[in-house]
Amino acid sequence: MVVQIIFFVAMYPILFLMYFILRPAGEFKNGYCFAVGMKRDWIGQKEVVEIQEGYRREAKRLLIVLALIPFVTWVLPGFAIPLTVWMLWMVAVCILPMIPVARANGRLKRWKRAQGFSTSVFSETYTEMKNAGAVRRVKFLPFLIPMLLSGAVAAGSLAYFGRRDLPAYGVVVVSFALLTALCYGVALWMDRQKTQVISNDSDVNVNYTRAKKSLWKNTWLGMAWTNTVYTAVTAVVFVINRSTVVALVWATLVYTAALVWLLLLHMKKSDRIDAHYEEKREEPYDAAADDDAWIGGVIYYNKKDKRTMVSQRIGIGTTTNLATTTGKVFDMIGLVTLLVVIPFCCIWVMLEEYTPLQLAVKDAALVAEHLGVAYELPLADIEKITLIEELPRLRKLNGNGMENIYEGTFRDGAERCEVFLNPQNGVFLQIETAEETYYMSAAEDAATVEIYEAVAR
Amino acid sequence: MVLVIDDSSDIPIYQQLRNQIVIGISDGRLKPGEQLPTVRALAEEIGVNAMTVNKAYQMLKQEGYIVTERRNGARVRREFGGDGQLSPEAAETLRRIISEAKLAGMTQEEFVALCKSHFEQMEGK
Repeated sequence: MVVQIIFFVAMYPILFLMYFILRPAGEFKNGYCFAVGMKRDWIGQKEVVEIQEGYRREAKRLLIVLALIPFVTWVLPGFAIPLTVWMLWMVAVCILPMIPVARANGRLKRWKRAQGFSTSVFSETYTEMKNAGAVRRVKFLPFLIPMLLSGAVAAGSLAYFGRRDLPAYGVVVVSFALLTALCYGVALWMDRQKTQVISNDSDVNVNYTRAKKSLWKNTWLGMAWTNTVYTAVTAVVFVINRSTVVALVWATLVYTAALVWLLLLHMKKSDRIDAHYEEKREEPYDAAADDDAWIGGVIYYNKKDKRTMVSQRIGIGTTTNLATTTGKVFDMIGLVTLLVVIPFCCIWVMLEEYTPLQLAVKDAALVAEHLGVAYELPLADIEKITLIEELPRLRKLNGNGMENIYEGTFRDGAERCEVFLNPQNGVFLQIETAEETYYMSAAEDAATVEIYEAVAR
Repeated sequence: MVLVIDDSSDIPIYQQLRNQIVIGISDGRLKPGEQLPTVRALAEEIGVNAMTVNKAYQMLKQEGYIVTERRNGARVRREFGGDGQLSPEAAETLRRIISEAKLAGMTQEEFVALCKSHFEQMEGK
């Protein structure tokens, strides 16, 4: 149940975030509607209104279907199957909402061509010469404080948990702390993007870019601070009580809500900047204004444009130009993560959960197998073996701690021990060697008893 | 000033860059003494090799449109005390344009009027 709550808190908001990011796709903004270059007076035309309404209907239908699917996981057994459903759901949430956008984009392009307007007119790159390379808003110092704080928390956690032989907790805190540095890295990278050309007036271009970059800087700084607080809270929760997850769930909930709030605030402010510059905006001065370079309105492929990154036409932020090598590499990484790594991880977890534990005596050794050999104990090394019906309170240090499989290094009170068992069984083996204590079981209780008798003899 | 680089053009990029800076100086979008971006910054902004921008700046310097100082980088020249003559290359380009205008059916008066209009536009009239 706790795992379900964590999944819900961490992943469910992504659906609504995607919905709110893509919802304005059908509105006329910055000279575009569904990523197609449009004129304001075309927007009220009957066919365009029909395309907009069709998109809204499809997007709402999809939102309802996607919003219901996660509730199925509440009745699914085990850990691996709900995890797989959640992961596949997340992939679907990232990809499926693009389909109504792509359909509307295609319809609008066809309409535009039918009106006699070209959708591919640009072969030129427009560059603002004024303040070239000097419109920068990100400074190191404001990011230094959250990075130092995160770093201090991470270093403290590593030392604290290292001394207590619990390095995994320290590593978790360090990985959160690294996200603060990542915020600075991304902010710096976005700050180095070229000046946006929206007008023939250099001052308009520079001021517009400066306003947008300031907004991004503030958003990333906000994220860096939010992450610092989350890192510190996680470390404190681990120190106070490592077995509780309720506090962590609440912290994650607040953290996710804060990030979503920051993004929504960013969108609102970004819209305000665009509205302010709407009057000053002239005909698009960007190679990315070529409608045909936007596949489905969301994927940018333009051989004539040498830039790797361009502003999104739909949603917020930037996207890669798939015609460039760097763009291809970036997108391949994203695609491999979405379509290969996530399904692979799900299959692996499923194999972990549903492959039965195999414990047997082979060649004068006790061999424990589960997706490969986990342990091989020569019988001569076993000093004592006991059949127990109740497990001591085991706390995982590293390895697998699912409902039906405990495998890896655990802590039994103050002592470390190696564990290979199904906690839902009725009997277990407690094995002592000169160096280590082991807790083991076979898949079935009868098999565990048989092994006990064979080894004890 | 907005630079327009056409990748599909037969004119090399450094030449396009040079031409547009000359036009920018003549029509006042680039003021006398105005600081120009560094070679590296402009190359990054356009998305071309720094050598391309460097070549354009070298041409502009040789032709006397810009000056480069070790400490301040490149600047538009403060005064243009020309001799009132076109360079041989520019005169040849003008000759070609006149030929094209003639073949396109323009009269001498129409061509002169067009030149006058552009000249006045560049002087901000």
